[in-house]
Amino acid sequence: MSNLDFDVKCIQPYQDGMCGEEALASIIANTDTRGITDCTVGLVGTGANHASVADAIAAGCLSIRVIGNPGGTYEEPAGFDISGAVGPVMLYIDPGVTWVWRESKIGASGINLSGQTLSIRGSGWDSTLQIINDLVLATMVLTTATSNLFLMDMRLETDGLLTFLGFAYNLLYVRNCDLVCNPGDAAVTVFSGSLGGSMEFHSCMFVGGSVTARMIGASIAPTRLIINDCTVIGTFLPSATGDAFDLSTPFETLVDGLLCQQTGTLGINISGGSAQGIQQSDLSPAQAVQVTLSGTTPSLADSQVSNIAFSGAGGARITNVEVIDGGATTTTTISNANNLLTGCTFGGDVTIPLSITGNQLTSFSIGGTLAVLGGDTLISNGIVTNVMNLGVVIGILVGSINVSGVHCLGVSGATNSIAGVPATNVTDYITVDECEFDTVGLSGS
Amino acid sequence: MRIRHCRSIGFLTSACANVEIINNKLNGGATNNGDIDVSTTNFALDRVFIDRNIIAGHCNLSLSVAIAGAPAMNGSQVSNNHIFNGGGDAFALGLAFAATVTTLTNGFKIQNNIIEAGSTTASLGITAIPGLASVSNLSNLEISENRINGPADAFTIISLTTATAFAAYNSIDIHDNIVVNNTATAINVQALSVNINQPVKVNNNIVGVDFTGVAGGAGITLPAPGVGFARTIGVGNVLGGTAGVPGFSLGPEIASGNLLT
Repeated sequence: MSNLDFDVKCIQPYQDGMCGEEALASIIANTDTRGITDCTVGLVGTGANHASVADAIAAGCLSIRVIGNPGGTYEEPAGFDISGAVGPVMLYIDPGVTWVWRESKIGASGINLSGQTLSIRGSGWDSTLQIINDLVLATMVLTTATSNLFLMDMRLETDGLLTFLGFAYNLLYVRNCDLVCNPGDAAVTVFSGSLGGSMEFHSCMFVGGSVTARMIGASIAPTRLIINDCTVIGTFLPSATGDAFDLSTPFETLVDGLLCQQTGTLGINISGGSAQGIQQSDLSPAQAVQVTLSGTTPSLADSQVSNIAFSGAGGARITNVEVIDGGATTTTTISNANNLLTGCTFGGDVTIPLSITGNQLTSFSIGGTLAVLGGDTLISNGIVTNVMNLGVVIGILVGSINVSGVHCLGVSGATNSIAGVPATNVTDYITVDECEFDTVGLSGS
Repeated sequence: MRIRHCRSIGFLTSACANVEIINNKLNGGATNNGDIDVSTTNFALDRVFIDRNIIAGHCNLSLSVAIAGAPAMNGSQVSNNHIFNGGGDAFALGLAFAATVTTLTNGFKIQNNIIEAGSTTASLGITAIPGLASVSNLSNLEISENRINGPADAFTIISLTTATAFAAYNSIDIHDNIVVNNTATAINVQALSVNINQPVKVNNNIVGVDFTGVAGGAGITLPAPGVGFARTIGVGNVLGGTAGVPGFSLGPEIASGNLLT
């Protein structure tokens, strides 16, 4: 409930002879309290003071209420410019109102936020800002490095790019919003192409509309990206095709709480930042969540996903993560160096390929086979349901493998098939300490 | 490769250089999988150290190399292991090492192992089978301070034999072992014709003695004097062997202080 969302009858004792919008206009005319609606926009003659946001701003309004046309939908007739406003501007979308930004009416850079702060907020119930990407403009909103945009308590629906992110900006802050990507058959990235600034999503729901929908694209480049306490529903780009949440380019990334209830598979790419609380809701492979850890020293904690993919420089920190046996993605391949995995469970197999060095796997549980072909590897305190394969099959192990405190079905050693060549260097060892093998011990040939 | 302080009912084999298998406990259970089997078919297997393992059940401890032309198992040691077969059936038991097509070992110590058989075994004891390629393919071998309890079966307990021309021994030292309850030759060092060319010393062993009243084995068989360049020495042994050929069936060239029971 907004402070503006009251029954106008309550003001009648103070404005005898007036009621409804007339009474409200009278109050506004006699007060200048920033943060309370001082203008309304919609169909003039049906309660609105102004026919456009541009008109309201021209009249000096800083707090503008979009009441819409009768029936609820109101399409902004043209762009508006708040760069010359004396202070931050707030736009409030009434309950039941769908406020439309159509590119062919707004025009390229038609909404000017240069050096200014704009807050668009809804009622929390059926207040929608709908963007129609009919011209596929590069940008519809002009920002500068000091521009701020707040979106709160509303539904933001687009069939194309959210074009206000085409220029540099300072902060995009999105809270308690439904962010709907409804592109039909067209490939769409909702947030993409930003230049610097910080981007935050708090308590939001990301809603996908088709298998071409990507919520955050790789070209996005804020200096800070935060996704906090959010949910994913609907249909997005499948993980086999790409990452619907490609967070690989921000300078700093924090994901803290992302419940994934999408209907298909979902890809999330974390680069160099940290993520925790990524939760795959449905455990079936058809709704698998794949997290790619890329960049330099990313971290993932306290999560449940179907697969972890390793990309970039390595050095990831993975703590207390359950990797579900995802059917088609049953193998977790640690394909880069110097990762630390602690307290993780893997439903399927885990593989460290040849020449991948410096990885540590501690306090773990593996539902399948553990294959370690990479040297300088430490494996400790775990349970492997199947066998451990240590060392190379073809080639020479580079670096040592140290395994301790593991219970497994059995363990096999290096078995170089190249005649005359041992499977390990003289100075490198495969060391197995204090382990238990259920059936088959260590074998080689 | 190092395998330490592990427990398994399976078998251990390894194809890595620098093999270290210590302080493990293996239990073969009801089938023949309680082995430590260090073998390779691809490369020389040197510096093998197998120490302080307990190997139970239907089990064996074997080292084998099958690669042509390369020395193998140089500088290796098998010591302080306890190998026993509680099942008492026809699986191999004991310690065997072999190199079928290569030079075998220069510097190998088998020391202070306990090998206990069940009622019957397919083989027993310590067996070395040199290969084919060299005239110097088993050198500097020491077998000492082992205790081997055989069943009442006709198996040679410590056997260094070859049926192949050009296989040979150099500097063999078998001392301070105790071998009991066997009915065949307890210690047998044999090669064909000219191929033994350095000393074989068999001192201070107790062999072929039946402490339970069953006839003992045939004692010690060494190369016949003058075969090849063999020089054999047997000093201070206690030799049983009432069922077969008692005492020394052949040799040694130098014998002193041996007791034939």
